[in-house]
Amino acid sequence: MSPNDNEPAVSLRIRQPTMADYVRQDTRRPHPLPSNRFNPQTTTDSRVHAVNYSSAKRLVTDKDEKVSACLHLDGMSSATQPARSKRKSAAIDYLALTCIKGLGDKGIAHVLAQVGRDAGTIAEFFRCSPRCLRERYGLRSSVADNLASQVEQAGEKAVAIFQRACDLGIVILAPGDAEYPARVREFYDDTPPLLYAFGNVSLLDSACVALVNSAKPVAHALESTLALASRLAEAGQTLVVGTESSSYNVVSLAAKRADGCTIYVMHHGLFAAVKPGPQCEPAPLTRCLGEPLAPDRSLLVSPFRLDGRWQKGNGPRRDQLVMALAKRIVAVDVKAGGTIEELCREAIRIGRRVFACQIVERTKAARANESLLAGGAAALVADPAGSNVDIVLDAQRPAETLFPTDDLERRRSLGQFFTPPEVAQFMWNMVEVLRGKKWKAAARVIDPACGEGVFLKVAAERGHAAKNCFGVDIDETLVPLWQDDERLRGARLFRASGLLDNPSIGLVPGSFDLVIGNPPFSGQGLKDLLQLTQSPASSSTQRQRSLFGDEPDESFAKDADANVHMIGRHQRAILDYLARQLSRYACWRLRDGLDDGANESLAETLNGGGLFADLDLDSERPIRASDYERMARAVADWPVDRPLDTSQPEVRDTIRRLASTAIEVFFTERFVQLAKPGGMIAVIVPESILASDQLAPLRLWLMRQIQLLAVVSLPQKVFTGVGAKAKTGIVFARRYTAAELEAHAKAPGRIAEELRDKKILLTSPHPDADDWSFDDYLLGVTESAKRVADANI
Amino acid sequence: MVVSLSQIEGTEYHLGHTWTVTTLGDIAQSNRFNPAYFEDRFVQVEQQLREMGANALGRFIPELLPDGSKGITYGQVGSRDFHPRGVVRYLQVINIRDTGIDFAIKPDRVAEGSHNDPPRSRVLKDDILLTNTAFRGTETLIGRCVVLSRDFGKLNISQDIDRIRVVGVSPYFVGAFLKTSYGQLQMQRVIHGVDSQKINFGRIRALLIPDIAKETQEEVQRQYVEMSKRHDRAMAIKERLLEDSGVDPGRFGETINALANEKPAYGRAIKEAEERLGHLISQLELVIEGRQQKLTPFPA
Repeated sequence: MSPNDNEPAVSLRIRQPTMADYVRQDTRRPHPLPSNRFNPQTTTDSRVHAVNYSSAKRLVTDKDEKVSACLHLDGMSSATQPARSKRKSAAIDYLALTCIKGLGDKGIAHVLAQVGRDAGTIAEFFRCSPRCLRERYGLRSSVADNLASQVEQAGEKAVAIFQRACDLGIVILAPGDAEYPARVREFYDDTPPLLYAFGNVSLLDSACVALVNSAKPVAHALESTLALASRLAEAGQTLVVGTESSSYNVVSLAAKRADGCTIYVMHHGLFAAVKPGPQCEPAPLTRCLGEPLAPDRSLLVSPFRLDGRWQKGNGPRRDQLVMALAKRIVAVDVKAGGTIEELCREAIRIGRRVFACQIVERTKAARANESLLAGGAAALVADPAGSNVDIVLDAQRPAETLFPTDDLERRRSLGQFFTPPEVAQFMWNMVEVLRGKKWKAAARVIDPACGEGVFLKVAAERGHAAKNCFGVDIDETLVPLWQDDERLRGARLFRASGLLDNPSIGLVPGSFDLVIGNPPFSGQGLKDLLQLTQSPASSSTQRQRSLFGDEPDESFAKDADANVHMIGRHQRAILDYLARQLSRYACWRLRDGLDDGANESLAETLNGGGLFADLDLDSERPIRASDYERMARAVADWPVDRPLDTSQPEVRDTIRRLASTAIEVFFTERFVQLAKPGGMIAVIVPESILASDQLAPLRLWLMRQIQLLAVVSLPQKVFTGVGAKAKTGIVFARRYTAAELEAHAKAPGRIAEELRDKKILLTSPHPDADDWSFDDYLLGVTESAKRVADANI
Repeated sequence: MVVSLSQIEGTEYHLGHTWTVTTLGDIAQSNRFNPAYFEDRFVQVEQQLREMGANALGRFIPELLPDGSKGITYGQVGSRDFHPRGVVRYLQVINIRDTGIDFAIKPDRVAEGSHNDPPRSRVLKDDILLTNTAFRGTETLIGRCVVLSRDFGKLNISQDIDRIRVVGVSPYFVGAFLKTSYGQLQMQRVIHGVDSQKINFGRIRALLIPDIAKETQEEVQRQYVEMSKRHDRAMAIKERLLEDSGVDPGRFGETINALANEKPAYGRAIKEAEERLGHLISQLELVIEGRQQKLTPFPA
């Protein structure tokens, strides 16, 4: 209770007493002392203690380099010697404060805050009367009454600690110092802690990111944390970590492997962590790499007194400092109601950039992450490659610089041609007609390249449960559109690549009743993969070692050093993962349909055949299916913890083939992959998929996977509104069940006899006709589909 | 087997829409998913030609010619470096008209032996030129063909034109046939492309061409050459006009055409060429369909 609580309102105008007032009162008239604990014989005037204590301070010479380092005074010129002395004195005062028995870290922080508010000094604090200490600084009576008796002892101890800190190269940062990180002050409101640091203090000014998990995160969360941390470290970000939990350990491991910068926040005093001589890594997991701490790339920070040991309650305070030091925070797997969630909320409240990973599974963590997302955190999809790290990296750039190019141009580059709503409605009508019944609300629907989410909006309008509607798109500019649209509220929308599996967001093959959408076509496609072959693996990336002690390939690293790095290491790692994942697709290595004589007449008419007829990779002999298999295996068998070795011909050729395969080809296969056996597929494809001779093997493959139900050509003008005049068509199909696939395998022509006579509706518009209208066309096709569906039944 | 929707419910075509119902077996056999490929008009043409024992055009196109070039080839891919004083005339799609070659519009030239003048795609008398690509809004340009009825000197082609040299069949008959509805429908069926439309070598080789008596082929050639003479006469007038007016043909092709149309001699010549071509095509179609044994001469 404040002394003024019982005063009438008018008394509130009375000036609050300052510390100087108390000091003046105390010098004028001795304060009443508690009789039972205070011993006037042993307790002298506090000013006397200050004098004695000051004399001890002089033992530490100002000119000592270690002292300068400890006080972080390296930048100060000799002309500011008085300032240096003052700083040193203040630092010892701070340390003395920590040596007062009964005054914990929180209490010290409180005292420092009050000193800061009064623009006073700690020396003045030491001179305060017990009453002043109680009333003004909130000290407990036992501490306040005994402070005077402890000052001298504490001062001497402080000098000794200071001397040791100087010897070890530990830096003391007080909240009042200019070097004290402003963002830590923001996080702690009025009680920022005294910080002790060892290592490269300038890292505090760098781009710091913290990746946090609650205790005992699930395995895939740790995997995602490791991946994101690796990408961030490779991109030159400083990672802020604790030292004990598994989550912090993998982050520090990632930083170490990528030769990145790390700020370790200790959960005990620095004396226990810093010893004379080469320092070992504070995180146990990083010690397995067998290298000492790199002082230029590391900083150990502790909010705990230098000689303090671990005690209960240190963990949350360590986590708080981790959050406080980070400019951006990534919450990967946060449990509801825990410290991390609370700290994340605080970070959001003060305007810090917080990213929360989206998790589909109904776990405690998922609820907390969802709650953070609802509270203002930015959404992030975690995957084993950290593919979405650009969202975190872009957060440090002004928004207007993120997408400098013209929007339409950018969309063309991405191959985005957004679907008109009437086409989306039509496709939904058609799948219901061809299926013969309406969808249940529980049916799982996905659009793996959802764009603005037009197909999912139609699903919502038709009463589909939002939680069963999934949408994925790689374009981050769409996220605000999803958030603003009421119809998409509750739908599972993720910024991720629809081509890659990701169990954490439910993107798993064979798990959807309906796969519907308009995937990208043309544009830049997967050409970025070629950067893997054009630029060498960066030397440090190559030097990444496995956890199991494999030695790096030094010869390769030497070659890599000799070349110019064309892409960032983190980008390279993401492309590496993409190449590995795409190499598992069938579409880029399809040739067997023509090779095995299944369609000889067609093969005869084609000049070259295959997806890569114009890719003159091996003029000696035609590429066989077995070559592709060998190439795919070379990539699949490459160790996960090492970058692909693009100097190997198989790997190199695989990447080139992946990059030269059109993105629509991959997406066509992806639609098939995602559908459950017996599930429906409705996909808008460019005409090349339907008619190109080069893609004949793809169609052969498709016919073994799906039962075509209808193909509807669209007039070229459908996408003119978005800058495209492409010939496209819609394929409606059903994925074969296991039994049907078995029947196909036995059939001589690869089509089971009982399915040969199944009817397929094919329609093409003639928009040049006078009374032609697109709406009538779509309506007419739907009507006809009903008849064909009836005929098939 | 292609089943019309009418066999399910009495309607075959809506105005402006084409509806086809086919079977999975048919799709598997053709390995095409594009609906237009299965339209009745295309299917019927193919059926008719097969019934009359037509051969694939590829049978008459040798893989390699005695000079080492391929029987079917296109011009150099890549940048076009025109040379105003070059001795090699460079043909582009715009120079190919129904009745023949128009050198008056964009009469570009390239240096002899330059990368735009590879020996493999040099054009000689009796060669067939077929446009193989169309870009947005120019779909009508694809599938145009001409046969060179005389020697035009050193001539080369762009990548959007195929040069076809046939053996064992009259090139004039092939050229005229490709202009008939039988040839055009076959090509329309297999033209494909997302942004630009294309027809590739494989599909050209697969085009069906009826087996016509040698005498009839000779008559086609005779009529074609006559038609070409009219066309060349018209073009000569236009080229003279070009020289006299000083109009930049590269930029003002329409102006040149307008000026030429004002010349009665030009109008007469081009009109007669078009009429002769129309006559030739209709006569050839009648012969293919078996409704006529021989081509009747162009009425005087």
